[in-house]
Amino acid sequence: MLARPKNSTLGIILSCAALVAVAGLYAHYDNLLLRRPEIVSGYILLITMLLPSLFGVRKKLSVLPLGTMAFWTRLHVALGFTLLPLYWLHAGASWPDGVYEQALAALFYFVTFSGLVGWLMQSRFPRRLTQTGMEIQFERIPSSVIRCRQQVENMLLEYQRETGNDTLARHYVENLSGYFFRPRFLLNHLLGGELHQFWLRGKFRAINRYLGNDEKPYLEKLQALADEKGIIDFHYTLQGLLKLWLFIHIPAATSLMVLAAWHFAAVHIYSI
Amino acid sequence: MAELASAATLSRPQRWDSPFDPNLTPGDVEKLLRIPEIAAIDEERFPRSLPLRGVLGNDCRLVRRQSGEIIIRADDYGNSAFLLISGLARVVLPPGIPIEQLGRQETVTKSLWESFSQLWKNSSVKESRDISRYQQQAKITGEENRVSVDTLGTVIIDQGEVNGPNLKSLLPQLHTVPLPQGSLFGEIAALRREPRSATIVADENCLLLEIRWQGLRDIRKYDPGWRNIIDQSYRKNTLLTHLREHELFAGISEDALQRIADCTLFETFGSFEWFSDFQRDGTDSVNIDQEPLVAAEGDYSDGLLLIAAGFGRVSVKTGNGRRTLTYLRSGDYFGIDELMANWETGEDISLTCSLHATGYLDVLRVPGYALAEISEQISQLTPTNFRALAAKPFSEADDLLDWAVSERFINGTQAMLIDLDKCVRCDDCVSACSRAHDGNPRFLRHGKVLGKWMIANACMHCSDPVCLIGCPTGAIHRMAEQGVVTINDDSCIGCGVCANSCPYSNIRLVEINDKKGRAVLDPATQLPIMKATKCDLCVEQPGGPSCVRACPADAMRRIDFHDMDMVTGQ
Repeated sequence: MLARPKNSTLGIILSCAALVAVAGLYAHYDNLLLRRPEIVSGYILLITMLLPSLFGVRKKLSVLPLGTMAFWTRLHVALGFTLLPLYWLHAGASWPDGVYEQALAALFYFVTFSGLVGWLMQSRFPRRLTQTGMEIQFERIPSSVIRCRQQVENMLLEYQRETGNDTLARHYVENLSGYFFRPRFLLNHLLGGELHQFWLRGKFRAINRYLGNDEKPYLEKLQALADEKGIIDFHYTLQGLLKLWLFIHIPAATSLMVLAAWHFAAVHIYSI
Repeated sequence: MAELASAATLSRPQRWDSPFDPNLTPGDVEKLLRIPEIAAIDEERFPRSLPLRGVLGNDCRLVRRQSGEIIIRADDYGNSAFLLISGLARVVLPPGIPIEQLGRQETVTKSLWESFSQLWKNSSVKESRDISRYQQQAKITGEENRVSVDTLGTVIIDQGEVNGPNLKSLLPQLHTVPLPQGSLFGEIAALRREPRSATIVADENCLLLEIRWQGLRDIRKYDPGWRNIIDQSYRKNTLLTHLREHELFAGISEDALQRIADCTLFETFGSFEWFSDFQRDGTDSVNIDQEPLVAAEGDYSDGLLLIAAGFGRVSVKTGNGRRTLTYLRSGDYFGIDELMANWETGEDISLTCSLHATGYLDVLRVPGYALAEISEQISQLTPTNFRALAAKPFSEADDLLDWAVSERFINGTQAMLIDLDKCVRCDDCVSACSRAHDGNPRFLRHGKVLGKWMIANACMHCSDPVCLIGCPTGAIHRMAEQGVVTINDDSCIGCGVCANSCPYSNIRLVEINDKKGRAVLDPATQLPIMKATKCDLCVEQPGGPSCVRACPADAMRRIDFHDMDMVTGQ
């Protein structure tokens, strides 16, 4: 069941729709009068592009009562979507000819696309992270991996001491140490696959037949720690993307604003 | 050694470093000992490490109130009791003084500009402090005071305080009871960490000895006479005040109320120091079977239970366990449904739910026969319908409530609840908190998790703030107006008592640096000077808690579990 949208969200969506409609009508009217509709639509587009960039400023001013960031996020997303029809209204839906315009168009589509991807990730990933049943801060992931590996190695030392065998320890060194050493199966975690589980089951099945009854509890402990490592990797993948995405979207959006400003200046100097 | 050479130094703060009145000299303490009520205290009973004179010098001050001035205000959080040395005061009974006449002080919040300028004024040094401020405070103790002796032979210190408007002209119109000379009041709020239950106004010019709760605690501990007075006064005042202020008895006459008070039993369940057991039990939540039973399902309903303080869990037997239906806190009541059914049917109907003490619970047991006599006069006798809650289908909200009660999160009035299904783990909340506190975050986005809910390690501003217990200087306190639990950095000696007392690990001790980034050390031990820090709900910021406002996903709320709709966002 879909959650009922908040009143503010509804207001933002309606306002954005109204903005597109007004811009469209104005451009159409200008066109009929044989004026240059791209001037007005360009101004609307530029102003609408500036508004989402205020999001970053608002973030820095968190101590001031300027509305909640949740509201600003909704506004940012809605304006991001609004920019697409406004851009088409201004530049047309076809790919431009000039190199500069092509760069501008490419950046515009890239920023829009990266924004859409980010929005989808922010909508979907939190729930998937929660469903792991484990909460871990991104900055603590490296130390968690080390802790996990140390637990495994301490457990295997105890195993050797208690059972007098080295089968499981050898198996760990030959096949599993890499798994515990660094994040693994990142793409599969992103896509929601179970490849790491399948891979681990194969590794444990392979060794199970060589273990005695006194050794099997150690295998179970190893499996539990391997599962925990899988969850840490899952968090690393999804939380990492949630952070990495901003390092792509923000520089691209900044570059777009710089190109747009130059475009604005060039049009005013040479064309109007 | 090079590091030590470059470090700033500061003498390690001590128990007596932050006296209640820095102007009080040893000579003044001698004069205080001539006050009859103080003279009755046996000094010999006090240990050498904590002498009565030390307590008086450190934890007491004399204050004067002119006729018509407010001494204490209802609903304020106060950490001190008052002994009326001379003059006459009056307790204002409900409906009380209009709030606009109470002269409440406005919160000092930063202006928009001050708030904005934090962007560049925030220190780049972590936990930096202007240590000259502490040194300046220490110098104050050596200054001349304004002590004199009045005609009664008692000591007067003119505090020169303004305590709200003068109510002299309003006083005759109010419903009041007199408080004679020698009365001790405010001790319930001081010792039980509750808001003041009534406003007290000076009818004549009054001289009062104000004793902060640390001193009151010590005097009560070592002197049996004061212990007896405080305990008797506590019982008497708690009982009558709670009955008088309870919504059930709003229209009841004083005589009828007195008759009810005469037959009402005051019962305490659990431990006032509940947090010690809670911490000792480790991270596991408290099982309902471990909680003291107050009233058992199936037992004869002999009266109404009014919750005076603490928390109680209402539950019913479900399968082989117990289902938590709700929890009760001060002002709530239990057993009314069965009593009403008894009156209607004339049959003995037993209790349909159980009540357990969660931590500690103070209960007023009003006998059913006494209540039956005045049932016609009781204005708002509404059933609680706990049993109807048991008929609801099992849901996640049940689980959440049970968890909140077992983990004692119900104690919080501003618990930081994060919906992990929405949280994008961006830590903007932490960054915002840091920006609001000179570059130092005051909470961790980390805590206990149940399903999609996390209660983060941020101060919950508890209704029973156990962190206040044991603070030797009173640095951690409730702000009078907002009820926000805050730490006065100037008087904090970094002893860690509050951090150790907090059952939720929400107070942190930090090593301080001076403005240049040098570690501040105690010259005697060369160990760092520590200060306790915690969430102050951004009380100085113009827009309230920055963390909530900074959340881009609307995942965070500051909540009170009593409002489950708010908790679940419905």
